[in-house]
Amino acid sequence: MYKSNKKYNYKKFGKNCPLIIFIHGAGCDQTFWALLNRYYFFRGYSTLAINFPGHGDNMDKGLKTIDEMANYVKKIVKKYSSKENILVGHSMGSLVCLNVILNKLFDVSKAILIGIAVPMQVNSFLLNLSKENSADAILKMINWSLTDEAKLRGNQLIGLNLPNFINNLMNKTSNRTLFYDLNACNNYIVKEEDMRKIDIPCLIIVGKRDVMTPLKSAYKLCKLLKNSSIEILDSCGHFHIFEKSNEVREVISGYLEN
Amino acid sequence: MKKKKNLKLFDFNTLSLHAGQNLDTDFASRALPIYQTTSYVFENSSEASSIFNLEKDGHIYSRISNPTVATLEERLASLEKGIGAICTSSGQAALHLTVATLLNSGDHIISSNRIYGGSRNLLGLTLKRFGINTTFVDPNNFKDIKKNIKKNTKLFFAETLGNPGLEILDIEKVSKIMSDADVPILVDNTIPTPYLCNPFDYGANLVMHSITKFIGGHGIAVGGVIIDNGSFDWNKTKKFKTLSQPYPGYNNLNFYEEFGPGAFLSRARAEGLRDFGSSLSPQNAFYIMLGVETLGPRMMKHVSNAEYVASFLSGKEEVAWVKHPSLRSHEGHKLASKIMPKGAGAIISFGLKGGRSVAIKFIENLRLFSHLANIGDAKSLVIHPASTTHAQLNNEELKEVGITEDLIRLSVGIEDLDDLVKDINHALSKVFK
Repeated sequence: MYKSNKKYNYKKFGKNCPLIIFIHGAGCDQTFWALLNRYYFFRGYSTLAINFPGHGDNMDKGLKTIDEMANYVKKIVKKYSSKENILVGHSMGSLVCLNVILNKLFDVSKAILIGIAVPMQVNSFLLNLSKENSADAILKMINWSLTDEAKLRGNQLIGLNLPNFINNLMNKTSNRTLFYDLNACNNYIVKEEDMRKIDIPCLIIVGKRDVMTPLKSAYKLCKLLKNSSIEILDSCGHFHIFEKSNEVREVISGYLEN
Repeated sequence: MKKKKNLKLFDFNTLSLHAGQNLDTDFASRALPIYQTTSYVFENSSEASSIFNLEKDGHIYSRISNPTVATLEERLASLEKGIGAICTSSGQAALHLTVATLLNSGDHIISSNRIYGGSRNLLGLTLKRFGINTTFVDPNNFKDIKKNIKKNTKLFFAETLGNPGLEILDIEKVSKIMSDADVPILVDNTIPTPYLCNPFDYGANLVMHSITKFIGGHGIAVGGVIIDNGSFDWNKTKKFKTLSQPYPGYNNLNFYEEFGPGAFLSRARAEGLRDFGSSLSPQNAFYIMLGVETLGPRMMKHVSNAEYVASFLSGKEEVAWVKHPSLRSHEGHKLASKIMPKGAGAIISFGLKGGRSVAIKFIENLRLFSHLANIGDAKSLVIHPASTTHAQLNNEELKEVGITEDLIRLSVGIEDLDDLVKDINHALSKVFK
């Protein structure tokens, strides 16, 4: 069965299959997950890649808080929930995953948090720029997110120019949405004691050269989440899935198999 | 979609030398390795099936992709400010790949009538046999362009600089018309190259090149490229079914939903290169890459030589007329200055007093200029289009596309200017003695 619309891309593999829920980061959309979505669908998982409002082809008005986003995910997952729900989030999406788990919005068996920092403070320059001119803010984000190698040299995606590809992808978000996203990340506060209560298995994936959500934040979070592990990707910035697509897939597959 | 801004992380010449090339991890080779292989060893059967099923990127067979070719693709995409590119065995193959990816039998193209003869033949005659019809228009007659848009129009095609008439395409104006009609614009940017003009900056959706020409610059390898900047919304009208509807060829894959901005390139590679096989060889990709590395400096010399030669010819008594956008007499001079501020290429069209026979005699008396069917070589070239590149057109069609019997086309190379001028003077003296 293949069912999709502008708000998400759902692929059902079969009855009682585990469901992987992909949650994108600030300014991105469900196509961000193209390299994982299709792969896991053909490996026995149903997949659900969300388009938050204002992102990609979802023309609804953007959401302003991580709480709202988590509840949005809950509403969609309700339709397709499986006995085993696995969350995969990137950056802002990983905060949404955390929120779902903390508030027990639905049953989650495992979570994979890519490029996460708690708190995820956004510098005031970028925040203001995203409010005034999101196209300029996107350029800054790409410049800070990608390693020098990824900006200039080749990547694992055949024939694609990574900086221009990401620029195009992020510019599909509607006006103000990027600001809402970054502001939501900036304002999301979780008490350390609450995070210590989480016992769902979590895998944290972090780029060694990620300046947006740096390594030290990932280590800190890993210490707080009692059932977590961390995978560090060498020579990788903040767009892990594009910069190191094969490595990310291998790490996730290893984790899911275990 | 809001107005996207271009990312400028590096300048043109730096990109020309480095973009897309990961340093060789096996032997630290500084030069781009030539991966002269047809196929690639899979790690295991699971990996093989996932690459075949477009679940992950990877090389399968060099008809579809090859590491040397992929480096060239990424570099050309970066120079044109595109999201990605596909190299093909020729410029004509790039045009055909684009048409075959987007259109079906019963669809319609609007094309500039000021285009290369081979493109005209493909669009006007060959594709007609497969049920795709083309209406040819004057690219700067905007009323006529608008009038010819039909429900089934799925592509507008034109050259930035018409060959050989050197008409300048007002990309911005045409883009506005086509964008309102939800029709993508494909611009052949072969003559200016990305060094002189980036059609994406003015609203084009797809850009193609014959990379055989200035981009290669050496006249030793034939190739083409199609570059996408991901700006066209293939899902908006539902008329681009090849991209927005499930494709049985890959288990009902919907390219748009799955790959978003990469939809066109994914389908063109996965279906087009697989089925039609118009791939660029790794050896030719390597040769063309050598040209790309020096594209900027070469184009500067091409342009400065061409501007001088155009001005020199305009001052000669024996010359009836000269066309080059650098001349104030050129109808597109102002537009050329806007979209090609560093110069409007190195192709010059001109006529000698005395018509066809004098033109042919002049060509035969040139010694430095090579008489052949190509443009964009570092060496200067010359041809008589009415009897060669556009010989398939009848007199009426020639008139319509602005090719006169006396037209001589020069592709000005990067030799020392004095020697080129001497050569032209010598040929003129032989003809008008």
